[in-house]
Amino acid sequence: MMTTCHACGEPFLPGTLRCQNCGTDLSPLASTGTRPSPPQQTGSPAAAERYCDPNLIVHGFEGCGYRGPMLNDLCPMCGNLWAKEDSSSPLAGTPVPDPSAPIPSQQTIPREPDGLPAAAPFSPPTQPRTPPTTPAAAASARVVTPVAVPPPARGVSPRLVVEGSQTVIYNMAGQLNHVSEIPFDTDQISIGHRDIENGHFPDIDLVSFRRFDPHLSRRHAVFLREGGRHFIHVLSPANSTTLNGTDTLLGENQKHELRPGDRIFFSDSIVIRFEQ
Amino acid sequence: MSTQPLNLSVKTQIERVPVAFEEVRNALLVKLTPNRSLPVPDTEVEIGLVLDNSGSMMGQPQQDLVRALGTFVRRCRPGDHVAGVAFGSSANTFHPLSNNHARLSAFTDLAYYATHCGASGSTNMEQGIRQAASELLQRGRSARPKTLLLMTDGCADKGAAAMNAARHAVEQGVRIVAMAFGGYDTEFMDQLASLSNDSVWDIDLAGGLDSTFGQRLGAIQDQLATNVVLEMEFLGTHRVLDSYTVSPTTIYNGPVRLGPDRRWTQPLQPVERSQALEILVNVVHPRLSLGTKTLARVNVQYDVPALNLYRQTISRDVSVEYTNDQAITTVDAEVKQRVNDAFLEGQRLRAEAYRQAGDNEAAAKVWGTIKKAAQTDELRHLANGTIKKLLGGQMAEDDVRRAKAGTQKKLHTRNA
Repeated sequence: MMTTCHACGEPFLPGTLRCQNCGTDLSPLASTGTRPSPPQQTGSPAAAERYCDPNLIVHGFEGCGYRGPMLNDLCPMCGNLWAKEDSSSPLAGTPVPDPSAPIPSQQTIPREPDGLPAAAPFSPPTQPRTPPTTPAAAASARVVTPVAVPPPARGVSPRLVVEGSQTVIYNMAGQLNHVSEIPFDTDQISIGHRDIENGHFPDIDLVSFRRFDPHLSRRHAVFLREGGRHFIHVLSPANSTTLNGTDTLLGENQKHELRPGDRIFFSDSIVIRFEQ
Repeated sequence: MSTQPLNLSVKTQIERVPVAFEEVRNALLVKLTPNRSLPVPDTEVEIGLVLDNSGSMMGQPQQDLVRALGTFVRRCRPGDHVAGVAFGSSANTFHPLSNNHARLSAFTDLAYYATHCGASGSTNMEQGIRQAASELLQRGRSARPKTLLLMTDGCADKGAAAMNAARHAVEQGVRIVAMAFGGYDTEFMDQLASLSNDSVWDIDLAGGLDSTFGQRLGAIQDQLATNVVLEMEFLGTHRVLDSYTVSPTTIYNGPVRLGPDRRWTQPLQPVERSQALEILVNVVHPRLSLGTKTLARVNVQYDVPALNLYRQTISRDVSVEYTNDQAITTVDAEVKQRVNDAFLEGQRLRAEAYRQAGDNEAAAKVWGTIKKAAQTDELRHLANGTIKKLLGGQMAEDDVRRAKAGTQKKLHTRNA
């Protein structure tokens, strides 16, 4: 089971200190979301103030948001080349942004309560989802790296969030991705664990938890959307599913309406929160 | 006061492993530190100089070599036994193994050296290595550590034969320190140096022949513990990935292959009196039950010739605690630093593999991660320059060597 880099979405094992794909520091002692203080500038007061624009990509690498006097051709924080003063560039003459305004890139990464950044938000597929039709086809479906996408705007559609820096395998258009957020944009999302022999592949696959938790069923539950309302429908009598940390098991074959913030405990393995 | 010449310490990057995760990555840092409070006399050493005297060395390079030889002789101590072999189309032992430095100093005169070194022509490195190793093994004493200081400015006539000669010498207990400049074959020399768990010393980047000879001689004279062998036994079902020597320089040792008994044995460089030798091993923890678990047993065997101590061993167990924590909240700062060093070198190797496969864009992207992880302006500038050259398709051999020196920290002088 892997978490994903908050910058590029590359999966990594917990304990990895740096993303091999983008170089981002992944350690728990990394930045808490603020940029480090810029180094003391010893240049003359008249030195031009420059902005290492995160929206400007130079040689394939974006800027870091640092603003301060220019010391040489390189940003003193990230080593990227300063944007040239090019009149043809759309950024020509861009004034230094208001220091009181937050750096745009910092707003894109929501923080979890435990201080670790959430994984990049999941982007819904453009094609309709088609589950694999045969076990062989499904068995050959490879886990692909989720691609980091911009976060959705406010008023976003409902979604299911996996808590505790964990991920689940989500079946999207026949491809399997490790995700920590699933958009609730269809009428039905099944959750359980795969059964290759019988050709059963739920939308949310808990196979990686199954080894240690026998109370997860193949057909564990279904998330339903009906008339703008959202429900969870527990399917198997043998499983253990509770709501919001209570000891009361959700009844079999009953639909329980979900409210924003509700947390569904799938046995002792995983907690999924419904958000809207 | 400890009476052991070497101290062994083992630390993990993470001490508390959350059971919430199915797998957790960790790193072990094995550190061998010389005991500076213990008085140890100078180690008597045997050094074989293997000097390229091929056609390309004529002129200024030969003058530089003779000057470097002068520096070398001046720094020799009474207990240093030196042999000199020059190679061209064939090899000639111009100075048999002895500690008679007065005789060796005659060769610090350019005219005398040119007349009496007895070799010229092509680059028969194989014969040079064989002859020098033979000189040390037949005339030397078994108790003294033996090192060949190989210097070349070109490519060996027969690379495979030279490699075999080097391998044979290493198997006989002779270390090889490879120094090169000019149009040398980087990959070949690196491979040759790796036989002794080292990488090639680029003379141009290390400040010239004079400086490199002096530094390498200093490192050889500074040896405290030799024939150092690291043995680790991994308990449980941990996956062991790879290892790096991270101090004094950063070198990728390769993937760790455990035997059926889950032991791994790795010969190491000698430990010098003035600095520690550190090895980093990357492991992956499986999900286990709560409690403290022993991860590995570490055993180091070494000799200290200066004290007539042989086959000394020190051992440590290293443990971690499996907890109910939901996240990893503390990381050892020193181990983290070393992991970062290893990351830089590992990424450079990845980038180099992409470049050799013709994918400059992918190589540039990987160098972008090096730039991001770099902790010095020097390396950041180097990364920027390398990225520009890769994207422009202008990466030359010199640039490759400079990049290697940057991540292996060989741009800096040896720490005192």
